Amino acid sequence: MANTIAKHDPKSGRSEIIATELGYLWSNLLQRGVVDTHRTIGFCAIGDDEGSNTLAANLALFLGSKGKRIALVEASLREKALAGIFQATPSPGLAEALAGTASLRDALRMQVAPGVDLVPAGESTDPYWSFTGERFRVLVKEVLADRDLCLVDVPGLNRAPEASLVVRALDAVILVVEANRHHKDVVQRNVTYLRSLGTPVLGAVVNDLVHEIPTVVQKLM
Amino acid sequence: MTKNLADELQRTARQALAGLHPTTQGEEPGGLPLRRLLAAVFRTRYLVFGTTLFGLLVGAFLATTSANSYVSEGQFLFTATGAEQTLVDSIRTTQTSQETIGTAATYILSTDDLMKRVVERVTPERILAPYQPGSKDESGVKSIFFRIQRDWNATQEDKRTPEEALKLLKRTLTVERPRGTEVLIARCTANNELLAQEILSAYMDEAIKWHIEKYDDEKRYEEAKKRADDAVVVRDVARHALREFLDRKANVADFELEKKRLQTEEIEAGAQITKLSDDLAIAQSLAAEAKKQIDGPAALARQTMVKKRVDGTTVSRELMQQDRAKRASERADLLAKGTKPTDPQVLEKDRAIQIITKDIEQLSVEAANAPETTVLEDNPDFKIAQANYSERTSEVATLTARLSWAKELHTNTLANLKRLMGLEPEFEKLSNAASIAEDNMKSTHITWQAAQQKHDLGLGNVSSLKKVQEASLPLEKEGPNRGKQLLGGLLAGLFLGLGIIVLRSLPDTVIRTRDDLERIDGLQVIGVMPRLDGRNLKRHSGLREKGW
Repeated sequence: MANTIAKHDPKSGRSEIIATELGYLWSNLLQRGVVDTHRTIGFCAIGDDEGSNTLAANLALFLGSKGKRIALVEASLREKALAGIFQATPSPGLAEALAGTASLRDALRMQVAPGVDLVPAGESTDPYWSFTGERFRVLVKEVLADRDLCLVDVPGLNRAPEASLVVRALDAVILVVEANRHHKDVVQRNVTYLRSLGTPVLGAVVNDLVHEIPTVVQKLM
Repeated sequence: MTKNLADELQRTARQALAGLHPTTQGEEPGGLPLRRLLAAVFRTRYLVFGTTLFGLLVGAFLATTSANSYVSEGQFLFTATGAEQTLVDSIRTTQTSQETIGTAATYILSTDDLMKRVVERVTPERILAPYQPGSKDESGVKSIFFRIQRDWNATQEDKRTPEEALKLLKRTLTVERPRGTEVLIARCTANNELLAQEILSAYMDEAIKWHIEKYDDEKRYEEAKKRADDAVVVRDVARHALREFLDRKANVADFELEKKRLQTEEIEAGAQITKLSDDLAIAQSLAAEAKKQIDGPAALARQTMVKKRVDGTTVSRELMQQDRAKRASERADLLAKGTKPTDPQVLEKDRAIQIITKDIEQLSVEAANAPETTVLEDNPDFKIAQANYSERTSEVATLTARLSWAKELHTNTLANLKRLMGLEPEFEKLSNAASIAEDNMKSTHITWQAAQQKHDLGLGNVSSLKKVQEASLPLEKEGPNRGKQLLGGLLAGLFLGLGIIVLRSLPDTVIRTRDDLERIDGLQVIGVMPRLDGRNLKRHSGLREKGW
């Protein structure tokens, strides 16, 4: 995973930078009708471990700290991470709720952070089959009942066939692209694929961006 | 409006007004993507460090192992007087310019044959002598340094061959001609100052000899003379061989004339044989006719009967006439002796002569009055026929002899003609050789005359090569510049690394920056999350402040 949850560290200025970037991201999302028309937002990556779950978690923390009620749903049943990040009980979670072995109330971890409720991935033997019905769409709507926004960590498009099922159940999706990893044509293909699913693509977020050129040189240019 | 949103709006405006808004520095279409290259350089900096270090090591290796080089220099003066004139050349004539000759001289002086002479003179062992840097007294680092150089530049003994020496000389001996001058500068590079001077000195000596032998016109002048003399000798030999052939083998003064003469003679002899044969047949026929008149049944009678007076005084008259002549002679002798005509002895003689004269006259009268008698005499017609026969017989004999001679002549002529025809190929060969030798002699003679004229006019020496500066003893080493080798290696390594980066970056399509992602059709970048690395975050902040 590229980024971890930002911790407050005044000396490094790390949290300020991340907060700033999250602010920019939130502004852009607002411009694109988030909250008004799109309330379930998916964070979708092309491959594994591109930082889509961390970005979703960071945005949830950022919005929660600003007084929003955010539900963070981990739909990536194959790569589970959010329970560990928030130090929450991993199951029952989304998998059990989708299978009907647990209720949504059981799956929800309330207030894992200020304003943030988490639905961890849970334990599933067949992640693809879990999303084939309408249960996920119903669950998301239930989660939204008394919350402002639902942020969903979508499994990798090239890693999990259920990614398309998850995306189609959401209002909008954000593509997370890790820098220095994919070729342009690969990204282009995945964007086309996402658009073919019918869910609006709000835009892309470059994750793990590395600035190779030193500041001194940058200033000279 | 947030800053991020402002950026996005600006980009949208750029897309709408494509071509009107100036492109960001380093992102110009068609040019080198400067930012991308710079980013690649900093990203793969370890590769650049690696290649630079490698280059530095190579430079250090060269600096350590390179032998010192010393350059000896000498100068020739090359003159090409009268170059605009036609060269004296026994084979052909060429028109050339001084400049061309001068340039050609630098090539001529680099020929293998000349180099081989230098190798023979200096010897391969000396030219490829082992490198001996420093003195044997050095110690410590210097001694190690010199030892490495010695070992690295050592030439194995079995490789000190003329071929290897020639290869080395071709690399180290150079001749150049500064433009617009008649000076040729020769340089020799060697790892020892004395060796450089020795080789160059030998080269310059050999070059002078070489030029004289091969290209000096005095030699051409002598050569033209020798050719002319040789051509005369060849011509004489050919002529002598032809004369010997004519005199001893063919036995004729002039082959063609003799052949023509024999051909004519053979034709004439043939015609004469035909004519003589005809004449002989006629003569034989006439002889047969004549023979019939003197022999055979129709022959003429040998004698006939005729009436004639018989003279019995003829003998007496002849004796008396002799006596009278005797007495007249005696009288003349007496008078000659001074005897007077009145002398008795003379008078007696006169009287005797008168008596004898009277007696003779009397006998003549008696003979005239003698009676006629029938006498048997030879037939004159028979005699005529006999003479005619004899004449015809003689004519037949003559014609037979002439015919025989004519046949013999024809046979001999034919034999001689055949012999000549048999010798004709040899004659033609010798004759042609003599003719060619004659032509060659004339040609070389003309050349020789031209050479003499040029020589007399002072136009003979087209070029000359003289030493104006002997091979110098190098006072200090020419190379290597070890600092430059180190720096060169370092720079070469650096540029090698940069080159690899450029080659790798140009076709690179990996999404590395926000701009790369924005270039994807229909995709807008709504956020960036930098890698959580202190330096990276600092750069990120800087870029944010700058407004990307």
